[in-house]
Amino acid sequence: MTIKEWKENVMQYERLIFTICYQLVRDYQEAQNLTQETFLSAYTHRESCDITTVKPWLSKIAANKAKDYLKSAYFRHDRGEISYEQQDTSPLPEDIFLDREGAEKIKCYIEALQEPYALVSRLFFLEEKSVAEISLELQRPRKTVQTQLYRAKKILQEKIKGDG
Amino acid sequence: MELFHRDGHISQEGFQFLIEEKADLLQRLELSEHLSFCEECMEKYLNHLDEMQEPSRQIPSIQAKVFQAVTKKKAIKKRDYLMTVVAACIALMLWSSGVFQWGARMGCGYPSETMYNQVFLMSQKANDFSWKLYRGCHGVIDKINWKGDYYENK
Ligand SMILES: [Zn+2]
Repeated sequence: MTIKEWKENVMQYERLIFTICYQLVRDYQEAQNLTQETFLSAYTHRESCDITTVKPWLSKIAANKAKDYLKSAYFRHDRGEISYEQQDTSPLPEDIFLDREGAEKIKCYIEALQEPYALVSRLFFLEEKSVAEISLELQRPRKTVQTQLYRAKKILQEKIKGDG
Repeated sequence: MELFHRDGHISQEGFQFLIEEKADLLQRLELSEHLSFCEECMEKYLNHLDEMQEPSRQIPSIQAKVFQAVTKKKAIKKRDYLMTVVAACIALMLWSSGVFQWGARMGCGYPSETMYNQVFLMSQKANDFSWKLYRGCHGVIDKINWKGDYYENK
């Protein structure tokens, strides 16, 4: 993408990108900032953009920016959510006593999970696949798989606690 | 209510929830995570947005701010480049003026602690001087660029 094309795209898609950012973050000022960041990022990486796919490419950058913002907003809102690096995606803790009945119950909970947690949890907890394997199989970024597993684990632990 | 299908993609309800601004923080985080990697769902979402009526909310024009930010970014890049050139010239000048040879002569050709100390002191002074010069030039070029920036945006 040339600088001229980039400028034309800013003018053509600024409303669309703002709408995407706003619908995701639901904060007028923040949506403006993210829109600006999206176009600046597009400027920096303009050479890697295929001019025929500008619209989804810009939208993807916007979704990514919104995701990062929401991630930190969720972290502030829910102290339990920790950074990617700290996320513990080990199997369920050993302190959950798994007799046959207990194991069946946990299996039921995992099967009953909703997306985006059901598939990753089944593959990880029941089929014992690694984060890398799941990432490849579901075509989801590794960090996303890790985050989803972390949240799934929290949901499961709460359900188990509720049982006890 | 399920935002996602069992196959992991965003459901019709999920898109509706997002567009009608009903999704809560965690749901929006889940949706943005999915949209940032799934091309299929992004395409569907964009189709939904195309069909959407013009929003009643005023959409701000961001282009002026974006263009201004890029002009500033370019000016900073140019300034940094110029600063590197100026710093390199000063360093070359100091080397060719024999500052360090003089320091070496102080040691009468024999490496000694005094000689190293002298060279060290000299190079430190040279460094201080070039740093002051660098900051001076920095200010001047900054002003030149800002002026250029100002006229360009007018
Ligand atoms: Zn999808």
